[in-house]
Amino acid sequence: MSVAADSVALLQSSSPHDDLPSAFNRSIAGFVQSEGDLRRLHLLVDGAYCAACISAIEGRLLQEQAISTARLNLTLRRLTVEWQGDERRANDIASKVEDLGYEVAPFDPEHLMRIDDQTGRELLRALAVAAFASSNVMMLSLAVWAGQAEDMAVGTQHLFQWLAAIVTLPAVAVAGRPFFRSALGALRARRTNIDVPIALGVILTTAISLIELVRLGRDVYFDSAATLLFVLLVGRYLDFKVRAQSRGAVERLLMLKAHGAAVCMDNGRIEVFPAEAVVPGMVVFVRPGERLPVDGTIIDGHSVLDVAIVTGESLPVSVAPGDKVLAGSINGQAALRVRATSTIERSHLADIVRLVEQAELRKGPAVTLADRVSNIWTPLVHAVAILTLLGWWLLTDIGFSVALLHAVSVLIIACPCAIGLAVPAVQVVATGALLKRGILLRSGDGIERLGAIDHVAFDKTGTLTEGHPHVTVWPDDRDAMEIAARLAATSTHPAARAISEAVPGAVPYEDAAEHAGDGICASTAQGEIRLGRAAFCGVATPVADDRSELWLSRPGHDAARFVFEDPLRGDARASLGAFVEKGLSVSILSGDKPTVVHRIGTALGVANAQGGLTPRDKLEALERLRVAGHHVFMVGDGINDAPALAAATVSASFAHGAAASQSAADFVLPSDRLSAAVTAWRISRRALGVIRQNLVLAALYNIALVPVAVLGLVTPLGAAVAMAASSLTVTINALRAGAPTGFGR
Amino acid sequence: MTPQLFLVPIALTLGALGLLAFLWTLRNGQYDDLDGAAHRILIDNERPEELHDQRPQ
Repeated sequence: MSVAADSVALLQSSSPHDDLPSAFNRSIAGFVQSEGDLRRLHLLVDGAYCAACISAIEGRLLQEQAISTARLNLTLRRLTVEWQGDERRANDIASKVEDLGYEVAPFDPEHLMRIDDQTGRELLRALAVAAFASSNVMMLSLAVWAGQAEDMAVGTQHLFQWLAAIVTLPAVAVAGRPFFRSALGALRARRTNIDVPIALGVILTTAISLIELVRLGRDVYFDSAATLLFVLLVGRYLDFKVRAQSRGAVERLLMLKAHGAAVCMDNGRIEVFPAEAVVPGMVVFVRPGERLPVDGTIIDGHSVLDVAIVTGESLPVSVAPGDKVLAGSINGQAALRVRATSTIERSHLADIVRLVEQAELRKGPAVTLADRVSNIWTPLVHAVAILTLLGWWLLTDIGFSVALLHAVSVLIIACPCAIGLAVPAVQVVATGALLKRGILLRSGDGIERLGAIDHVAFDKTGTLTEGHPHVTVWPDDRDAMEIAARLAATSTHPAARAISEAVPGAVPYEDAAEHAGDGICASTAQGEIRLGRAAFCGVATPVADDRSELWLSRPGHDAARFVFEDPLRGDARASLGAFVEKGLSVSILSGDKPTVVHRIGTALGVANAQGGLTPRDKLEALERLRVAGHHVFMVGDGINDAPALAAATVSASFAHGAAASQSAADFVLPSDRLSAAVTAWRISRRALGVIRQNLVLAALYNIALVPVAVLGLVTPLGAAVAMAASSLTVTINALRAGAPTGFGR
Repeated sequence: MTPQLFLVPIALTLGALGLLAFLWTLRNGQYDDLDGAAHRILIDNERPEELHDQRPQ
């Protein structure tokens, strides 16, 4: 909703405190880190997407001589500023960035859940080393194999094999570290994961090859070890990149907290306190365009609040002294004095943050297909290898070292390198396909979870409906429409905007005056005309209807009525139909009035449509579905949806949605298309199918060649070919995940 | 045989140089903000000092 932005632009506060400086309502000095005389501030910046943003923000800040560094990380959307001297410059810095039009929120890097930069760097380093090692060792190995077929002198072969060893050993030490560490961690916890056979395979391969080299044997497997690490690291790195945008609901909710509260003291002055310092009983002063820092009761002022993203109500709410208001709402029109009824920790907003965290904890990390495959694979492979060793050693007389060689060759052949690539390759392709259709995937395994759903739950306002009102019933009189549009032209209230958009080109009255929460009036030659609530226009008999309405009163005419509704999206019915057609069940969970929700449910043919739900109610509804064994896909856009989005098996928000709901969701859909939810589902189903195929294909190569290894017939060339073939097959098959058939673009 | 005696070490050395260069870029933090790097090339500053010299608006 853009009510707030317009309010800031258009409306002036008429309070006596206009002369306060713009850095007035802020106190973020507590977030500044100090190193001697050097101060550092980290800010989350919302709305920076391009080069112009970078140069605007950095350029503006670097104009100050005192600021030594200002660097915006566009990927993480974090601004780091360093300066010498006063900590309170932090407030000034934040204001400067906001004046440019960006929203900022300070954060403490220690407490913020974020992408693990260290893991990314380590994986890249390991990948680079493995790439270097595998390509060079393969160069040497190919020479040796070609030489073995031709007439290469044995001395040359050995020289090349020694060179291969010199390259491989350090490479395995560096590139193998992620796997060794993961395997050790699993073993210490008395489990095995996919990294245990990998680590074992790599170590044993290298060791056996060294022994063979020293004994002047013919078969060394250095290239297998290096290439195995390379292929696996490619898969690992792709997987990491896709998962990198981790759920950071807390991070986005930080954006919503006001950071300073202007408290009215007993002596009449106003002082800025950090929002955390507000206790019940304090009186807070909130200017138009600002967010309420705490829950409270209004003691002075009439205004209109935008509560859409906090409670889901699509129309702004008029408030007057005595009304209860919630933290996070945006004040629309006039200054308010609010007596706090809770601290920021106990506010409605903080409750939602806690609900989201609880929901995420309770759900736990998803068990992916790859994990399940490795749970079966690992013990099986180890068992076969041990049997091979024992079989050859005990049942024949070729000796322990040769038996060990055969057992290790089983481990090498069975090493699931293609499995490590099977899932990430599909994820990359599917993510690209989704992005082409405007759908953003925020968590790596979202595709797997979305492919397996059997129930879809929708929010109403902004999800199934457009989120802002349209006029559905016009008065019969054309003149009334014109006059109403002229009055409405000056207002930013969504209902007024709906009228003025329908009648373009209306010239506003010069002396139109808006009364917050009631309506607009202007005087004409015939008398005073008014557009607004029934009471404001002098309409005595209220129509028994729960729809929103505005009246126009003119001298000499009957009052004319305009009725508003938040209309259904054009593709709402088709989207729901697409899900129902394939056998999924659907429900609507909304915070709006139950009568309105039931009407929408009937219109769409959804039996299970519940209204009047608080965020906690939505969460519980989803819990019930989960306990009943359903895999639920939740689609919503408001802050009040955030806990439900975190709790559902898989969830989607919209690009226009509250930042908090976007962070709690797995997918972000384009604002104008609900059908994107169906598209995402179809792509995910197809991708899930391809993932399963890939896992089978990857296993197939290994399974087919294990008997060959058991019989001791495998050679390094054979192992390398098998590994390359399986990896290529899996990668090429993954490309099929990008082309779903059917619905929409 | 003789050509291989120096060609193979040269190949390995060149490869190692490439690897070291990559590891240096990694340590230099050049992969921390790939989106930002892609956009920064479009910024039009003639000289780096220009940012400090701009008059306040």
